[in-house]
Amino acid sequence: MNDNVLLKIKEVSHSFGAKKVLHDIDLEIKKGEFIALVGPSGCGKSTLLNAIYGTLKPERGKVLVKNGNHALSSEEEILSTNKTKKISQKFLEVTRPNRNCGMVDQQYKLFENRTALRNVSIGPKLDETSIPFRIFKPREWKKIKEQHHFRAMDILKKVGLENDAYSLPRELSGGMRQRVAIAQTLIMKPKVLLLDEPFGALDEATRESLQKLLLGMYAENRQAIKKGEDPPYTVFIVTHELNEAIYVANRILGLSQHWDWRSLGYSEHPGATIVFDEPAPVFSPDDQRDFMKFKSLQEKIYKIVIDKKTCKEREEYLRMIVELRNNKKHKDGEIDEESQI
Amino acid sequence: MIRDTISTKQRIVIGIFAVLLMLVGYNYLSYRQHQIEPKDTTIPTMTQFQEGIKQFTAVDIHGERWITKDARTTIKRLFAGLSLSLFFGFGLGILIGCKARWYAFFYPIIAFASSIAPTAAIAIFFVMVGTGFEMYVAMIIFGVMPILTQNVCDEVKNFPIELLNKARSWGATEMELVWNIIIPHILPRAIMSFCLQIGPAIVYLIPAEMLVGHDGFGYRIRLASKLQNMNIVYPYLIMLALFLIGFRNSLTELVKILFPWYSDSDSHILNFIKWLKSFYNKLKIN
Repeated sequence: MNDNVLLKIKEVSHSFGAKKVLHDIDLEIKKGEFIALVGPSGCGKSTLLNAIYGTLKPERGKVLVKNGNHALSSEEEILSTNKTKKISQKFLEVTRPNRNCGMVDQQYKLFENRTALRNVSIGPKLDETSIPFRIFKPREWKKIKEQHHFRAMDILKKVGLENDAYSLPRELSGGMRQRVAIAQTLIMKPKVLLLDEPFGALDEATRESLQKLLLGMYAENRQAIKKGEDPPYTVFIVTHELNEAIYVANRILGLSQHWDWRSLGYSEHPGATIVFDEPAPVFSPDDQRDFMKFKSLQEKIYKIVIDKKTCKEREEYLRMIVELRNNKKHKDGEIDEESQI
Repeated sequence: MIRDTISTKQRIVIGIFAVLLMLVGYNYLSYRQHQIEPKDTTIPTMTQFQEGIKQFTAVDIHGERWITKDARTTIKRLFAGLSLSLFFGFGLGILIGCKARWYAFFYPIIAFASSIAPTAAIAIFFVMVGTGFEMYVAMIIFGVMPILTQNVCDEVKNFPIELLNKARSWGATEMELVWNIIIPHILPRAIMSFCLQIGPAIVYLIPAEMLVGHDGFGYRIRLASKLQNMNIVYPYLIMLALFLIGFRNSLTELVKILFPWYSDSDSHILNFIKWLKSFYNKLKIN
């Protein structure tokens, strides 16, 4: 098993009442990857993201995230019922929002009672200090608080909001609020940064600057890898903009409900599944943004993922995935039989 | 046109005009009543009002004035009842708002209690706590606390779940979620909800004093109205109303000062201080 894997989505399926939304999603996300999930409206992209974040428990399957504590050198997976092993196990089943994943959602809600600076600095405050510490050690807390404010100001500079650090959220425009929400998550340096259509409400100029911010983060990953260090950022972004997905990501996943489920033996539609998984070209922040460069890839993704019409490539991909899984199950079954013998 | 706006000056002038009109109307009614019955005290003249005010501001044989004694007694009862209601109502509201099991346990009791008019249940208070100070405080708590608890609970439940999840993803403990996230957000709302309960608290207290009290505003109003001395009753009612308006406005101002993010308009006190400062600076320059 690859030591670079940060997140595992194992056979996740979910439905809302009678409506089946997700079917058998099986993915691994490695350190340093920038993954864009695209798909038609209403196919279940946000549902999958919420399952990864921990605000939604999938009906079947589980989401596993690499835990911060790596006491064990073995790569044994946690059993969800075995709570005593939780602390020292390498992978933690995601059952609720946790420190390993940070999310920027579509509504970009902020704390209305805090300025932009304090909205960003509250994360480190909650993570690094406790209530008794703040009450009984006020002088030390004051020093740490100043450090948090410096860090928050740095992040706000990165997203271009240093002049609005002392504004309340109601004094900020939608785009500025979204940038504060992004800064709130960036300062926490989560293992996996989840973005749910983060640039949807922004104007083109702000969108471009934040896309370049993501490219800058990917460039930092590449520099870290060159130095032999772990890449600091892993991003999973949900977007309905194909251009954006290809521009910022190095891997594109396509989730679609438009696949030929009958040919695979289902009597009713089991939900959307992954129908596309390919690398994307990598850009640097200094490259000029030219969407014509990846027009053919865009058309390919549209044909396989978005378009309702029957698509040969889509069905071939799914057959290949089903075959691979059956082979894997067969091998696991053989190993079990041998061990019994 | 609907939703037309007028200037502050216009608003003040029209308001003063309305009050003056009311005073003129009252004086006319009083005059007409005194034409029919010269010794009437049900619609007192200004002179009769002066006499009434002299009566309750004069020092009595115990060395006290009626107004100070009654105000002290009533305010003590009111503040004791309101403070305890706020303390328990806020705490219980947070608890049941955060925890589903506590909500399932307490909510039916609170919903039932909030549906009972405390004044109608006054006999229960006689039996449980007697007719002393504790009875008035218990009545206010019984009347105010369930509604305050419900309001605080609703505010907690309406707190955006996305923000709670964000805080959890930053490593916040459950206690930190309550102390650092929920309470600062709902505090101004809880205070405004409390503000709205001051009127009902007075409504529970004054009739109780009228029924069984030996002192306080309600007691004085009962005594004066028995003798039809409305020149004492009306001023007492006006004082109660002014007290309520003053208390509510003070709390609203406090919320605007302490929680500037919550209110749409700025605090009048802070605006006045800003104006004073700019006026002083202008004078300095000149």
